[in-house]
Amino acid sequence: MAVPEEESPIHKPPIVPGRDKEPAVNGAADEEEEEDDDDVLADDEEEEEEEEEEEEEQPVTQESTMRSTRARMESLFRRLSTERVPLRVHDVIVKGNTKTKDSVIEAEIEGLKHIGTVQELLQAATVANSRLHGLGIFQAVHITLESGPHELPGTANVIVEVVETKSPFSGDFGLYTKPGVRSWILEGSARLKNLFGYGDMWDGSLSYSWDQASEVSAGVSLPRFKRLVTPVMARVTLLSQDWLKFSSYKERSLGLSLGLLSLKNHAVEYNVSWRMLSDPSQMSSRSVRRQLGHGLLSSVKYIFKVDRRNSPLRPTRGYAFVSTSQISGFVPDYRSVRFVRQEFDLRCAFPLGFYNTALNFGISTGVIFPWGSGFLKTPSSLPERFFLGGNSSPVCTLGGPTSLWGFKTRGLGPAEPRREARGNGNDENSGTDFLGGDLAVTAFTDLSFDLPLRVLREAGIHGHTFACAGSLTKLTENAFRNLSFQKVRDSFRTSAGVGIIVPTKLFRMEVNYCYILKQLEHDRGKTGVQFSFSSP
Amino acid sequence: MDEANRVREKLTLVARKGCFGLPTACPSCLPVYIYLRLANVPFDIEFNLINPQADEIPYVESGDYVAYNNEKGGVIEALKEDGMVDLDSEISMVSEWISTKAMICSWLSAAVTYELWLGSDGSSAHKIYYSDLPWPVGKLLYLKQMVVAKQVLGITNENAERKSEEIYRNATFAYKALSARLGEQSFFFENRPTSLDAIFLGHALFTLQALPLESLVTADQHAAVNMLIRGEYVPRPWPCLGEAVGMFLSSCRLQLLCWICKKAEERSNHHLLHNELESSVLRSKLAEHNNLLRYADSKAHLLVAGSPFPSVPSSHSDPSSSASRQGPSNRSNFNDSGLELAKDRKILSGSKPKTKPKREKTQEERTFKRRSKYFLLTQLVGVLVFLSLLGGSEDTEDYDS
Repeated sequence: MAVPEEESPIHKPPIVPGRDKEPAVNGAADEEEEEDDDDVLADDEEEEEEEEEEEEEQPVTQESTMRSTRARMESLFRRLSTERVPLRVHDVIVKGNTKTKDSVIEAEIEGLKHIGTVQELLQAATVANSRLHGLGIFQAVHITLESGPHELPGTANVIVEVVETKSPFSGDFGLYTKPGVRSWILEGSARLKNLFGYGDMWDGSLSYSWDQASEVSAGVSLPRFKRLVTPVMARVTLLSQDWLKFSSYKERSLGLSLGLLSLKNHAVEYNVSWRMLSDPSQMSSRSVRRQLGHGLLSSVKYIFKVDRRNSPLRPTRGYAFVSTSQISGFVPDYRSVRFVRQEFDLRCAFPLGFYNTALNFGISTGVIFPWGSGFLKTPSSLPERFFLGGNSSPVCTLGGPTSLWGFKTRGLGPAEPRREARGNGNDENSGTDFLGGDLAVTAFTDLSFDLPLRVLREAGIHGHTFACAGSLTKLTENAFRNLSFQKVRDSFRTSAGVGIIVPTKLFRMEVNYCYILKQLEHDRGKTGVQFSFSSP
Repeated sequence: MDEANRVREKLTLVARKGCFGLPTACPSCLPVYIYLRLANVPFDIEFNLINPQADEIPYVESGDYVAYNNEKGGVIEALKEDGMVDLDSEISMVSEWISTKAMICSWLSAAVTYELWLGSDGSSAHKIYYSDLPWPVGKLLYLKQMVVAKQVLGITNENAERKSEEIYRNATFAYKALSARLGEQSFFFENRPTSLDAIFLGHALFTLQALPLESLVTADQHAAVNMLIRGEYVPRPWPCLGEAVGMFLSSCRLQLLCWICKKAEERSNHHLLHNELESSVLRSKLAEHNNLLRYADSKAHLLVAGSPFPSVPSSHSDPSSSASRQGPSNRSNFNDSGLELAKDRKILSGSKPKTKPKREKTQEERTFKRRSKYFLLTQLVGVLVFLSLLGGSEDTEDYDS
């Protein structure tokens, strides 16, 4: 692999003579130039080693040449490790790209041009190599250095040679989590890479989520779009989600989402979608009936994320913070869905020093409120509300307040009785619809520890005990006027338990025994064994 | 016990929004509204503005009980079957009653569907169903519904002309039969209201008030002109100006409308109402039967919530309604004028659509001109007197406002 080798170029074996280009030096040979010429290749150590092996079989005279070269290299490395060796890059030459535009490659290797020393050059070469690999359109990337023009001492040329992927088409099938989807998904996708030579990635995917959602989508992502320095993504999605069992409605939406900014800690995306809520069963409760119909959602979402945990699957040290802000109604049309939504997630992990034990704390809150004329009397949009419960673990999921051990999907919160059952002989109780809430708070504490058996430890299987609490309340339609701290406190449901965590290649599975400490009427919490699944 | 509970909880009718002077302007919702009014059942009305094509709307709910329109043969049948509201006891087995009702529900309903979606520019349909949806959503749903309407009526490009004639022929037969059945009675059967009356009234009032007008002024404005003819017009003062000036300007606006009507008539060489005939064939066919028009007119007070049936129409009062969304309920002051509009069409009951006869000026038009001139003059004199008497104080008011 090329990338790891670049991280410590100083420790590479000396370059075999004959591979380097002989410096065309003048009489006052610049020692630095010679040393530059002997600079290590950014990668391809394997080729060097192979050649070294071949050449070991050659006569002894070559051995002595090698020894002298090695001595020179060692002195160069000593110099590099102790002092700054000045160097400038004269030219960067790109080779091997038949389809990919030069501008795409040059944008990723921009850092190579502004270096002042050999050390900086090696570092910049490492970064450039990983960025080019990150585009996902090259099979291999070689960065080599050669001496600059004779008349310009102290310069070098950088040659970037890329090998484009032969087949632009690739397919995938797997288990993923995507931001915005609350539970993990099974996805099959096909990708077309670099169709137009701009590093563009086209993909179409079919996915099925464990909360009965199916999605067909197609998207394109560009590493560069005009003046934007971050990758840009556009995606068209047709989503169908079935909540009949929990809330008596089905959701279908056709949407376009644009990822406008994607940095390490910040992301901005815009989404416009046409959403249709329907109830084929015609058994929905009054509040759900009022929301059935068409709506246009046009929203901007900003995500700020900091994740300093050592592992997303089993965090034992560090913290993570995510803030998601969403404003919808960004079209002049007053008839589109208008709301403001804010979520906060905080996770902390503290190691306790024995048996790999760690204490995890987490708190998640979310609030949604409509805006626009008459906003105090308007209910919030049903699919955008918060719902608690399900089969995901709060330790790993960072998508706002969603999970609570021991409660079924959408298993707690404001509920309303469904339509009266038809027919005299039918069961009187036709069930309840869970309507979600406008204000959600969840908190948990989790103590994870290794199990005594070595086999289990080596497999990564560990145990945990946990306790969690969650609350879901309604704020809209003037309900916030009746809210008090006492009421919010009384609305908290709590559960505790113990379990075993089995990390597999695809997902993280928990087998827990949950005990419901407090639940309210209509909640669907169950004391007993429960499975949780999550993937990072 | 359940039925008693149901009766105790007040009914709520969820229907499409009201406009064109109707409490609910959807042709399938209006009969249910009128049925509940005929039965003197107190109910609230709420509007669903976001589900234009759902066939379960209208629905009536009472607590956890819901009667959807796509179950049990419709809301009215469901309410009868569930013992909530029943006006058809003892009549529902009479074969003539059943066949008359079936005729209304098939032929007249098909005619309204045709005119609403295919036989006009779609402005009425757009206002009733899509004006509260965001533009792209509304537009696409409207186009989709036009295709669905064609499929329901069995219309293709080849048979469009033939189907249109068949629909209007059936409507003509239906109106003749209904006119003969009604005679001079107050109701169609047994001199009492039944669901048949509700369904026909819903159809008639919708046809008279909501089917599209291809005129240069809107239905409300034209209704205002008619009130002026009858001498009932009360101009509304613009509150930001002095009352007299405001009223003067308001009457000037109306005069301008009258002038526009007249000019349009001269330009196109038909009567303005005749233009409407070209876009509302159904209305003209209904207008041929005076007793049907009279019947619809006599029941028009049902459209005003709060006035019990049967009684003299009370003054206009706001309905006890809570809109689920910010739905403009276009309850104009000209509720009854739409029916006057129908009366005015008596003149043209014999006209055929798509012909352009030269029309002579009627007595009514001359009266209208004379009255409008007198009115304008009176207003002008009144303003001048007011200004001269009070002088600068009115100017100060203007500046303050």
